[in-house]
Parts: sequence; structure tokens; C-alpha cells
Amino acid sequence: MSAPADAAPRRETSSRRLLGRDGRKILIGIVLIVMVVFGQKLYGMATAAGRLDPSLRDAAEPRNVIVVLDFMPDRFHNERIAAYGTFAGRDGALNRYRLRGVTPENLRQLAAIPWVAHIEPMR
Amino acid sequence: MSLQTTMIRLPALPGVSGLAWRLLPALPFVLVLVAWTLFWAVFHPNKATLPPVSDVVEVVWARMRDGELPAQIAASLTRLCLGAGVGILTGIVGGFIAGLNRNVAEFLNPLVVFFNAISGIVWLPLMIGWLGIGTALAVFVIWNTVFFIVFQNTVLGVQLVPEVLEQGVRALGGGRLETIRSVILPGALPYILTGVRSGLGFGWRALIAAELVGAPDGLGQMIFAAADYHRSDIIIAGCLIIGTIAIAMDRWLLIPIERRTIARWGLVLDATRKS
Repeated sequence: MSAPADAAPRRETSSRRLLGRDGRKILIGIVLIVMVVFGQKLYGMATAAGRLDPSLRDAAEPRNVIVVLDFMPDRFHNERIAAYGTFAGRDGALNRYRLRGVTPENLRQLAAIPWVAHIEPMR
Repeated sequence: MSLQTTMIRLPALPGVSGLAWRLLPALPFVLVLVAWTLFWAVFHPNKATLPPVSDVVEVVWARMRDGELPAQIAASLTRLCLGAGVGILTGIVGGFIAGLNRNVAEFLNPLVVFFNAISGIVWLPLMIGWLGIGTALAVFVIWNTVFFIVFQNTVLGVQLVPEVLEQGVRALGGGRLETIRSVILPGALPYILTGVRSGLGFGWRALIAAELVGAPDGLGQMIFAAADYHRSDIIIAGCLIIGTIAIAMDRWLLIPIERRTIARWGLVLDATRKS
């Protein structure tokens, strides 16, 4: 009955031998780079539906929208958001952007930005 | 010759605990941090000249939370990986071809010396016109930096492999490919990997230079934009992040690759391994 008990450490040893200490470090390094490069985008894409107002989800033509952030924006955020439509001022607060003529494709891309809190239709 | 040498795992000094030995590389940074804090506490310089440590920490935290920093890091890292990847690949392949054939080496040598003397930044005004502002420009500037370092190290590594080892393989019936695989490649690897490590370090410099002038985003652009508003906290934060990523890549990628390949193939002995 001692065979199963012996088998577990042997498996661990063989997997350790396969990668080794340096192999594990290399793997961690590659995973970290992939996470830094793609992590934010993947997270944004996975949570995009929650940022888009239900009335905008099936948009088939350009829409006028308000992009809401939950922090005070900087130059970086202004430039990024203005790239998805025609910037038409703020909607009562600095963190509420009015964007006109946002195409359905741009709307999807805008919703995939992780630091955007919410996108709602302009009334 | 590069300052970087083949890394071997050194044993801890007698009387120094394992943890202290591991933390030793952090000591210079701690000293700089302490000196910076003390200097600020005593002299209170203008924040636009030198911000306190707390301001830099705050700006890093704030920009991590609002999503700017991860986006800028991702943009810079993508460019670096593309530029350095192409530079390393072409440098190794080209260096191998030149190293194996003396005629090719003689033919390419003047070209390499000529173009190596021209800094990547010099190409920027011309390349902005050719490639436009964006990823292609940064990739070219990084390639221009990484390629020559890797190429020259590879040529040197291949040429320095003792001929007697090649003759040994041939005497045993090995062909050209077998000689390259079993003798020249392992023999040249320490030089190639030293070239790769040096090339990546210089690649970071080239990337930031390229982003300062010809990129819509990235850490270089973040630093450049911060200068408009005298935001030295953002500038220092950007420098710290660049250095931290470079150290992380060196520790978690390049040194382990170096150890795994070189030590494994028996050309460099692991100092911790007892015979």
C-alpha cells in the first residue's frame, strides 16, 4: 500500500526536474509580461457588457453618448476618449464626457476600456 | 566588452544568512531612498525640481488606479518586445552567418561599424517621414540598437570557439550542422546571451527616446508630457518604473535563461554545485 504514497513525491520531483528553479522563473517572467501587455485589455473585454447601458448594447448606427469615469480625468483620459467620437464638452461634471457620432464598433471598444465606469445615451 | 558578464549562482558569504544575501541587491536602492528622504527633509527643494518620495508614491498609486500607468506600461512593453525580438532574432541569425564565414564577416564589418556609430535618435527625423509616428518607428529604433550589440557579440562568440573542438566533432563523423549544434552554438551562447542582456538594456533607452519624439503613448510619452507641467513626480515615477521593469526582466527572464542554457551545457560551472 506504500506505492501511492511514493508516487506523489515522485511526480512532484519529475515536474520540478522538467522545469527546474530557473525554468519556473522563466515561466513566471513570461506570464508576467503577457499579463502586463494583455491583462488590462482582456479584463476590459471581459467586463465590457457591464459598462454599456442596456439601450446601447444593440446599437446599429452611430450614437451620441455620455462617457462616465469614477475619478477626475487627466490629459491621457481626455485624449483616449476623444479618439472614439466627436468630443462635445462635459455633461455637468469634469468626469462626464459628451461624445457625438460614436460608431457601434467604437462603442464596443470604448466599453472595453477598464477605467471607463459607465456609458449612457445622451438625452 | 560589455560590463555584464555571465551570471553564475554565487553561494552566500560565510556568516551572512540566506535572506540577508537575497536582500543585498536591494541595499543600494534603500540607501538612495534614505538619502533622498533626508535631503528633502533638510533642504525642502522646490517640488518641481525634486519631489518628496511620498509624492512619487502617490502619483504611481493614483495612475495605477485610474488605468493610465498599466496602459502606458503595456504600450511600452509591447514596443520593446517587438523591437527587441526582431533585433535579437536578426542579430543572432546574421551574427551566426557572419561568424561562420570569414568572407561574409569581412564584407559586413565596415557596414556594421558605420551604422553602429549612428545613434538611433539620429534616424528619427528621417524615420518619422518614412514610417510615421507609432509602433513601427519605435520598433525600428529599438531594432537599430539591439541588432548591432547582439550581432557583434554573436560574431565574436562564434569566432572564439576553439577550432580543435570543431575538428573533434568532424573527426567523429559529425557534419557541418552537427558541429554547429553541438559545439559552435553552446560555445557562442555566453556571448550571445551577454549581447541579448546588454541589447535589452540599451533597447529600453532607445524605446524611451523614440517615445519621447514619435509615439502617441507609452512611458516615454508620459514623461515627456509631464515635463510640460513641471510634474517632476511623474517624471521620476516613470524612470523608477522603467528601471524596475528592466530589473524584473533581467532577474526573471534573462538571468534564468542564461543559467539554464549556459550552465546546463557545461561551459560555465554553477558555483553552488559541489563536485
